[in-house]
Amino acid sequence: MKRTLPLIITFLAGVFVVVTFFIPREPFGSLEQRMLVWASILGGFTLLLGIDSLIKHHGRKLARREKDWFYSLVTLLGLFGTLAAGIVTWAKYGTPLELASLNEVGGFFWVYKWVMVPLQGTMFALLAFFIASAAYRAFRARTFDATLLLIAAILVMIGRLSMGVIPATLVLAVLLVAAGIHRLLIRKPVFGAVLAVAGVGLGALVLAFPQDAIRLAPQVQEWLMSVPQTAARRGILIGVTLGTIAMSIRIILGIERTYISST
Amino acid sequence: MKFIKWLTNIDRRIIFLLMIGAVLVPMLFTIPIPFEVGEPVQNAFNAIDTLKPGSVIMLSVDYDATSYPECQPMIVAITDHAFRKDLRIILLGHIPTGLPLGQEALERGAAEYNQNHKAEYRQAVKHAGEELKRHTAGYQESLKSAAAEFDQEYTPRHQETLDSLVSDYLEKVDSAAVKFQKHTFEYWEAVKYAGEGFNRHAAEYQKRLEGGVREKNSGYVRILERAAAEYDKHVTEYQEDLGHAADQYLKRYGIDFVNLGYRPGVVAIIVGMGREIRDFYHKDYQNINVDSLHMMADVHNYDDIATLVSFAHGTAVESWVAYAGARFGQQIIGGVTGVVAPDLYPYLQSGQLAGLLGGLKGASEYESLIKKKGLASRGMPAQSTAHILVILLIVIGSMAEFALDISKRRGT
Amino acid sequence: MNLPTILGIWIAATLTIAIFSFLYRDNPLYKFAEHLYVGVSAAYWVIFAAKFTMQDMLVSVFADNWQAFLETGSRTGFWEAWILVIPTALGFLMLTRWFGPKVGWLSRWPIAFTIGLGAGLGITGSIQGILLPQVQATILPLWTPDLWVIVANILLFVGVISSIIYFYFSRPHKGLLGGVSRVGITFIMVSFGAAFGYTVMSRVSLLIGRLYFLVYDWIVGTVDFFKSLL
Repeated sequence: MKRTLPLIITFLAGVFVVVTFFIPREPFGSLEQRMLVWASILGGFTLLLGIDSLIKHHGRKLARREKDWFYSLVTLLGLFGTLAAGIVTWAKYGTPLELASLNEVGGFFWVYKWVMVPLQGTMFALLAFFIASAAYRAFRARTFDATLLLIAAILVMIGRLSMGVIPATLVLAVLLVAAGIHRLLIRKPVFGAVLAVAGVGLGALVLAFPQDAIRLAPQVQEWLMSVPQTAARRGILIGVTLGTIAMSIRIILGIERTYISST
Repeated sequence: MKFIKWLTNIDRRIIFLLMIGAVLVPMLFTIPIPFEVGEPVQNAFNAIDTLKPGSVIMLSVDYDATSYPECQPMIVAITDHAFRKDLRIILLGHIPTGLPLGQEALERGAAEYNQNHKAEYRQAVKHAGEELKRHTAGYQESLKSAAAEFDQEYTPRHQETLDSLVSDYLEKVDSAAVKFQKHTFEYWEAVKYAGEGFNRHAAEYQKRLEGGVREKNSGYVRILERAAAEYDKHVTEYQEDLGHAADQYLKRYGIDFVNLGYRPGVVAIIVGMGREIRDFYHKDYQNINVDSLHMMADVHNYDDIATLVSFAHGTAVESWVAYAGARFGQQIIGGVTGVVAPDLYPYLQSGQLAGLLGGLKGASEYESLIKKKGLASRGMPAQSTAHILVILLIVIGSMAEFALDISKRRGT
Repeated sequence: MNLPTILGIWIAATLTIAIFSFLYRDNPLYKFAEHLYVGVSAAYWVIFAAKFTMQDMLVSVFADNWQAFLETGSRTGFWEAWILVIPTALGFLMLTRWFGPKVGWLSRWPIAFTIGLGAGLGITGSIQGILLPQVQATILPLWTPDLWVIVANILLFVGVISSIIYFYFSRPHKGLLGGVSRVGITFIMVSFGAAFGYTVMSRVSLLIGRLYFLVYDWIVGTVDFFKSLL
């Protein structure tokens, strides 16, 4: 019963939505709308789920003075401080999202702009450093596929430049020539010759027609994005969509039950 | 050889320092950069530019502060463009930690628009006020001449009472304007209330003027009543002129833009809004009933929304396209981060997206189209140097590895 | 610039530098900022859940409908008010997860409802919204007056088919299947390279945003603030 009833609910909810897609007439239409509103309300309750384990975990660390208990205190102070800020602004203006609270120390908007935004933004800004370091370490043109990936990446990056297009393209040309020579020396003459000729050709064209190169770089990038990239992306998208459909059918039919046993 | 080996394994902290330098240095100098606009951004611009004034555009905030530098310039630019084209904006969000950013962009955009058109608005209001004063003088004249004709006493007290009635009314309108800058439907309520108050006092004033005269001289009373009705029309005209001036020169909450707030459950809302928006957004972000917002009177679902722009850093645009776009035929534009943009090109090619702004470059292209350089354009030089650094690092690493590989093979 | 703003800018700058200090190595300042972030985000979600779900979708809808019933005796008002008991009850069932598995199994019902709804919408949305339009857009004319369009259409068609075939792992990639998937992986490599180029742009933008804040809002802003005081 504990396991069967949820499966029945899933089946009924899923089938109902699919049936209503084909029969939007009353009473199906308004019933579906009501179900969607309820799903939205449930989503709101779901937002509250994590808070319990957060308070319990950090509260326990603080109470028992475990290692790094000070940071647990910081978390809890941040939590309750922001809750207080939100409640005060909500009581004062009728909504926590009041732009005027930006001019009050401790207002909800003030906390958002000067605590939340820098924390969130800087956490992700660190990625810029890591991507440069990772790109340098991992992206070496060792195989045919890796070389292709690199050339596409560099061409796209050049296409997004607003200055320095010529030097960057020359650097790419140098890479192609170096890769060609490398391949030639390790006994892969065809590939090596192709790369070397491509490199020399690219360098020569860019030096001969610099203005055209600057004009064409974004167009090359746009073409790469809209043709080969779109094709592969679409292939992946269709594959993923077929997988989603299969998974959804499995869930509705009760073949896939992992979401139940997570409690 | 040692140097080449070092080149294949540079300490990451040196790379971090180089990255900081590559971004910081161009930021300290303003470098003018010419712009060529790509097709996806041009299509997005055209989709909004060709909308009729008064059309409704929905902006969905599906990003948060982690994508602030990329998506915020986009929403600022599109808000600016929409206000210039007199489009009406509905703001909502599926990511709560990003909704305040959208709100800030919208309210600041409206405030900036009002600031830019303040002089014209003041001029129009002053003109309307002068018109009213002229008609007030005319009304007083007709009262006086009627009094003279019928030998009634038109004392300075009558004049003062009328003067004070009118100036009282004008003062109420002015102070309402100052007080309700943002919440302009409250302003119009206050203006209407002041107008009704004026009419009430004017009627009482009339009665006092008429006094014991009514029985003695109905002709005089008739003239008074006619003059009063005439004046009433001019007061209404004044209110209408204020309304027109505001329509033309101000962007007001509830009339030109609305913030519906956040509701959880992304797909449920996207599908449900195809039937009726109010089922989910009964009240706006401030607890005002959506039905009392003037702009929302004729907006019920996607049929009433001309274009929808989703600013996203995840899969929100795909949800909008799959549900709002496919099921309800809603036109959708995507304003997304660079990470998500490549995923959306298939939708662009299939026509499911009307336009796409991808990353900082997309935002700066849009800014150049609306001829207003903002955050994105200022960041482009630093972007270019950082890209060049990454390209150089990749190339140096690869070339050093080639050299190392060849020497290894030679050595063995 | 007023006092709350300059104070806020300094707090933001301190937190920004605290997180950037991680680049050198993990340190107490970074840990402080990281833990603060966790606490503030959690509170944020709670406030939003409370305001935009509890108040706006439950309490105020109930209150408005109940008032309509009290004022006009509207049956719709009565019905619309009291039917909200069902989603509220389901919501509280969801929250039984807080109390361990003994009671938490009750949360399976609302979860089943949400997942069933999502799966149903997923089927129709995926087919109508993604699969059919994307396949339709791949069926392109392979002969047009414009050479570039011919090349683009052929590449698109070949690319989509070959990359889908690449992901068919139920048979070994040998022979014709192997050849086609080789073409597919080539297209996929190009797309990954392009995606990488865009990702670099995206990540660097975030850095530009933070450094811009540090230079112009913090340093220049503080100088302006003190200038305005003098």
